[in-house]
Amino acid sequence: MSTIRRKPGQIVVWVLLALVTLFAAFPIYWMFNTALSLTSELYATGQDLWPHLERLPRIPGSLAAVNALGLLRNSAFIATGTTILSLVMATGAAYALSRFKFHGKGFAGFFLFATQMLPQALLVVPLFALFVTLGLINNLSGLVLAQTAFSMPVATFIMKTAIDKIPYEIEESARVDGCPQLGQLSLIVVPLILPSMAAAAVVTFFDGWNEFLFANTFISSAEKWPASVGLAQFMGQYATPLSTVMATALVFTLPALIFFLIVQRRIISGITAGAVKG
Amino acid sequence: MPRISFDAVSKSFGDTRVIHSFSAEVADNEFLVLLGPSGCGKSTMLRMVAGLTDITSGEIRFDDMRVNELEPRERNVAFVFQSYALYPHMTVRQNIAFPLVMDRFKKIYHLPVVNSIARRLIARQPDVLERVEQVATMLELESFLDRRPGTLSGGQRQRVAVGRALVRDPSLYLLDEPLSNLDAKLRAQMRTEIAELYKEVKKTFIYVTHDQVEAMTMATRIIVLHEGEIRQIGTPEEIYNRPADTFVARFIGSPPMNQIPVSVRDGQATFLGVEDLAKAPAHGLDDGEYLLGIRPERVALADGEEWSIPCEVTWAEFLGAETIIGFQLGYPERDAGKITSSDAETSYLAKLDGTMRLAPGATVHLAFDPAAATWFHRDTGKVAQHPKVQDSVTA
Repeated sequence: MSTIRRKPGQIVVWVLLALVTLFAAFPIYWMFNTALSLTSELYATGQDLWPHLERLPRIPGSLAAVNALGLLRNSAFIATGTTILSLVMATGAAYALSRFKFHGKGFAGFFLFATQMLPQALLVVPLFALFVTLGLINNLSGLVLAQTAFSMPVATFIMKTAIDKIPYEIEESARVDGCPQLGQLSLIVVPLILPSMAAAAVVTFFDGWNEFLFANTFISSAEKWPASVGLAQFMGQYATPLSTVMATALVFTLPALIFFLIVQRRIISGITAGAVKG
Repeated sequence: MPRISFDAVSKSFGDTRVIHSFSAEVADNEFLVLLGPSGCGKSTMLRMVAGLTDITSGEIRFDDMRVNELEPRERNVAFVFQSYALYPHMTVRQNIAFPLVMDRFKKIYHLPVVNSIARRLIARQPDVLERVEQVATMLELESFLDRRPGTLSGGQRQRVAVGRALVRDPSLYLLDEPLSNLDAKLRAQMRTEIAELYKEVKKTFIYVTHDQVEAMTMATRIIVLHEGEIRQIGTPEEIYNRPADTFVARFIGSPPMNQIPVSVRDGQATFLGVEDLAKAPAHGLDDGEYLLGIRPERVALADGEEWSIPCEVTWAEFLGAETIIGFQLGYPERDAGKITSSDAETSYLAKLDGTMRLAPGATVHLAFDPAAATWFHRDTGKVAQHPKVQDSVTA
């Protein structure tokens, strides 16, 4: 039988899925469409349903005019910095929380969790005071630090859960084979939790990429703005160049999308299977 | 190849004592089996030898050198885990090569990124490759070398685990229930393979199991453990024929030894609860309370002449070559409710010829050679008298 029969129920599911996809994708399409519209069309005559593709060549110019590249570079710096710093610290923390016995372990876990209960807005003022003292105001590295404080606990919990699932014997076996503790972490544990690390990387990267509140408060000079703040600044009191905002926003979503596509393969491929007879 | 001595080794987890003052010697080249029911502390014992678990008190020595504080690697031991504990992200070749790679690892190689490059480079060195091939050939793993453990069957994984132990040529092999995850047929095969391996490498093996068949077939010596205490140390023959106490007697042998409560007066043993039955001769025993231990295969149907006792068959299982019956002492209609055996919930057992067909409820006369019985003190459970005749163990 070469033809596969589709059951009616399946067709309904497909139609529903198509609708949901359309629903989710439409804003992106509308962003694209708006980016190719003239301000006059947006405010007066109304926007066409179909994009004016012939206006595509004008986009690079309008992006350059608002220094979109600089904005994105700053965002990338914050996101990448947050991701690397969070993952490095979370790997150690997750391993310690999962494998070591020490006094205050429960408290340490709770403390990490507690960071998630405080809204960022609450911490802006104390952080500002702290950053002034440390000279981190108007400094992108300072933003990386602030953001890491919020992202690293999440990454820690994701990775701790993964490490908890690795049978202890595998590390003991490595220990008998002559592998010291640090080697057990880097040669055995880390390769086994790569899928979870990728998931943690996605979470922390987006945290950093979307960072707005701290950047808006701590960064004063325009050349250090990340794209999130830059976009917000376009909204003027008298005019908002909506098409430029949308063009920048579109470019803003692309790197994040690409990053997600790269690591998503890792997330899907679980490789712990077969470690221990299940 | 070290001689291993245990000197009053104890282990506690918090307030729970799991090993009580374990003292023993393991000779060079010995295949020692630590045997006991689950939770008896045998795996903990093995882990202490390996250095994976700290020792609470006492001392373990390899050739008179205290090893308590040494890391597993410094003890030159190999450990085969019950769960195999293979590295799932490495191929079979990398798994087997791992101990060799670690031998050549310098401290600086442990830096992230550097380590995985170093690991791959070392694994490609000709002598490492050659040794891995050699081990793989020995264990018939050549065709799986580039596969990941996840794609292998249980038996193959087991072999990889053994290969990883073998590759470094350690002086001591520690095996923690290595066969318990395999099916019955494969288990028998791997048992033979491990026994052959032992003959081939001529090193000391310490093997932990709860399976008496594995213990009896492979061991040169067995230590029977129960609740963290050594109950008996001896060769398989000694353990089987001369059990030190009721626990060992019951634990070794399938079906287990019958232990019938009796009272001995003037060299005559009266069966408790059924005092009017024929008394069993108990030569050389002081008056007192005993348990009469008799293996099921020693019990037979009486042929009429000798000493015998009437019994009720409570159940019968036909197993092909043999029939196992459960029985209670005395006449069923007369002695119902009077029987006060120490374990009234179970019947006593007899292993009879497979041609026997006995229905539950039947009354039979059973006999055994009193000289083949082991006598235990009823209060302590310790042996009072070993059998005067012994099975010539069927080799």
